[in-house]
Amino acid sequence: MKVELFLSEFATEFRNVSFTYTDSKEPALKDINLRIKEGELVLITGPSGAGKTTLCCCINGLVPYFYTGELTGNVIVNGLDTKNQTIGTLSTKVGLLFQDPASQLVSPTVVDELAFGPENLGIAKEEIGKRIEYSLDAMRLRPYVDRNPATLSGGEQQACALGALAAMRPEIYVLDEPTSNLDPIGSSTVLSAITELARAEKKTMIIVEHKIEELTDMVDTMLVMDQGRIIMSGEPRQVLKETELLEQVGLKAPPAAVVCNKLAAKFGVELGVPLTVDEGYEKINNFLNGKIVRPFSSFREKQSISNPKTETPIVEADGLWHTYPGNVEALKDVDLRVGRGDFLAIVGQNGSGKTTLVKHFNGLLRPTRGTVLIDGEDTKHQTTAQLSRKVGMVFQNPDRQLLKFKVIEEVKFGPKNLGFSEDECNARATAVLQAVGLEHVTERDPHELGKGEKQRVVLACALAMKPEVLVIDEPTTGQDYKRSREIMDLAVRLNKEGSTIIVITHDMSLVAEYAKRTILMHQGQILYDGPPREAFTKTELLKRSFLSPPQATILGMRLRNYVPYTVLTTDELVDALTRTVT
Amino acid sequence: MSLDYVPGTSFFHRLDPRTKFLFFILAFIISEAFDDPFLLALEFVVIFLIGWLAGIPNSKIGGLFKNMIPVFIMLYVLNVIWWSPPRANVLFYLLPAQKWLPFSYEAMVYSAGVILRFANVLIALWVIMLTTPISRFVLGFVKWHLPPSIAMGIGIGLASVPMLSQEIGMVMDAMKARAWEVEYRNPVKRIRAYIPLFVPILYQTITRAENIAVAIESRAFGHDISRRTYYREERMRDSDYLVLVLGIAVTVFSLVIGSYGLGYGAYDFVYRMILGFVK
Repeated sequence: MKVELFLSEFATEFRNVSFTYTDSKEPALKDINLRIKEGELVLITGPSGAGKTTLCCCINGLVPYFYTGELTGNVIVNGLDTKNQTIGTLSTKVGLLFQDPASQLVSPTVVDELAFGPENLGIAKEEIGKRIEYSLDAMRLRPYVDRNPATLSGGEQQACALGALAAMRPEIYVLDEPTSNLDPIGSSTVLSAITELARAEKKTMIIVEHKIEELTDMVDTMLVMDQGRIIMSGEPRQVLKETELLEQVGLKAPPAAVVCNKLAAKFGVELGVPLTVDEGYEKINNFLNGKIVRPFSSFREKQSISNPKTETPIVEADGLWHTYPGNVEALKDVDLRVGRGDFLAIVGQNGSGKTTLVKHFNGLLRPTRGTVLIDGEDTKHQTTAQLSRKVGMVFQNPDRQLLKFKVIEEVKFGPKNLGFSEDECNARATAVLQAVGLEHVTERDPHELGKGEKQRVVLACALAMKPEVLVIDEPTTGQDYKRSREIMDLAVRLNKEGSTIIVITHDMSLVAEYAKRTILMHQGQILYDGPPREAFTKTELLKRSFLSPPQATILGMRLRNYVPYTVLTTDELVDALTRTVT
Repeated sequence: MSLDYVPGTSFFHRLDPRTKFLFFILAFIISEAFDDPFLLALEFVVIFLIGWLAGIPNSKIGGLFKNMIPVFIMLYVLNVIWWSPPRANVLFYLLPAQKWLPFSYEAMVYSAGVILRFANVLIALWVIMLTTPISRFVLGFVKWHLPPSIAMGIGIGLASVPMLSQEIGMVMDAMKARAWEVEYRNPVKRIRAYIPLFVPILYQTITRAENIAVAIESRAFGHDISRRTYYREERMRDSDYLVLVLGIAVTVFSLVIGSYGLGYGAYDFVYRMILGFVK
């Protein structure tokens, strides 16, 4: 193999790089030019399908050696052109962490997982031991040394995968959505650990993330990709001047920056771009100081939409306990009433019992103690198939739910199981596919559709059963902001048509924007049940359950002198602040 | 009831995985040495006691056997029906009119031995699996010069079993939520009901295999496997040699008993006892 050393002061350099996958006509990367210095922390963001993962895979040679296609231009990593290297050689320089931690853990215990990379590099046993010790401490993995990584929670798995990379001591870390499965506090813990690691080891770190607001103050450079191109790049403050452009490509711009930019535009002043809530507070406070003319009394307190506790609840759980084998108490004495037409968000950290609770609504799980009534009938006396007429459920990963090779057949699977005639099944499938905007793909193989479309297919499958209650488990996982919103907009429409919606999510901004009622769960119990506007004032309860209010709400709380009520969105905050100032 | 490792520091836990693997092979040979249900039952008790002394909860072994009860019953019945010596003492026929499918005393005793032989192989396998993490087996096999790529393949494959069973559980939940029924009494209907599972599970398995390939390649698996090192190393100790010597001695002794037909004394006794009891 020809080894050519490029004289480059950069840790990674892309020179006019374009790449088209073998089975695709459209290039995934188009004319990328990028220079990343040694020790630099870079955030790459962009909507799904922008080319971010492809770009990551170019750095360690997976593109084009594993994922084949036509690569033009040069990717230079630590002075080596990837075209002349193997993945094996590049893996000694580049550590790549993938989105789904569970899919990359290959060893039977955490210690074996941490040792796997250094062993492959031929590192001496004593040195491997030292590296394992380092990773166990840095990633707080010591309590799990002999556990099978498959049995760890999402956050612990992510920490294990990251620790395994750190044990290899790569020159460049490339992390592709390292927090996609984590709750808010778990996610900020992992992101802090990552940046601490990069600073401590003075390593180059490239992080792909949708959660821009959590990283902007930690990184040196920010890149925005869309449709295979880098459309913006520079220091975060420079990029965040264009929050409107970020929103146009389907990203959620950091609320503090959005509020400042909007106020600046409205009042024709220069506020600067804040990277954190604290900075946002300072900038807005300085601007507003001395400008307030309206007393608080002139504001009408934003009314919370009350919880529709109807006379005839559709879902009722009384004294519900659930114990998994091994005496794991997942639910402890849960009482819950869900009224018809309610729009409920169940929130809580990973492992708090959210999914266990909703699995009782369609009989996938049975109470260990207590009762669950659906439309007044005890689930004990009904099969899951019978309950599926009343409660539809959309699970996280669409690939686990797709059984057929045609979208229309996929959607007809449920109604067929319920014994409806072919005509009725066809009519239902056609109607729901139209409702979710997929009437143009009825004859296509659902496995070949994009992520967003697959999610809508599984939603259509649930809707075809005409359930009164629709449960959506984590609509945001693996989806960008725009697609998450599309699913939630659809849920709102269904809710307006009379369906009861229950959403399980970690995404507090979605809760703020869409839910009428929030159920906060922690260690198998309901800590709080009420409207989101009130839920977000319970900061202690949220903290206990490893959650935090959306950034717009936190900023609003800090600006309590000017905004005398809890705001849920950036628009509400901008509106409130605008009315404060003349 | 799964075959997850039961952590412990017992004598049996501490043995080299190669010793445990040879223990399993010897247990298998011993169970093949006899047809006698008494001697096979004795072997079962000995292996069970080894597991018990290693701290494996009785409920664990009991649970694993409970899952196997339908298989044991099916094997026993089939064996009794198809294995019937000439001039056997037939107790009854499953199809009396045609005098088909006989249940003879001889076949019943012999089949009890067959089932016990199967049970001995299973319990020996379970005891070694429950007292040894998969990674130690892999390391042991590497010491036997198994190519590292194959050893790693076995290790990764076995480590993926819990992940795959979680996947299957999730796929089944998603299907049940769409009114999919499997609780049919008719076995043909039941098998047909499981067919739709095939697509998502195959898809998930292929995806997982690809993800693992990408993950291990990215972690230097293809760097230079001939120079791979091992953090944990297995080493044969005195206790291992002691167990092997003892195991080989018992095996040779069993083979001798078996080859001289001495093991059939108890067999005849059981047979005569049953005959006497029935008549």
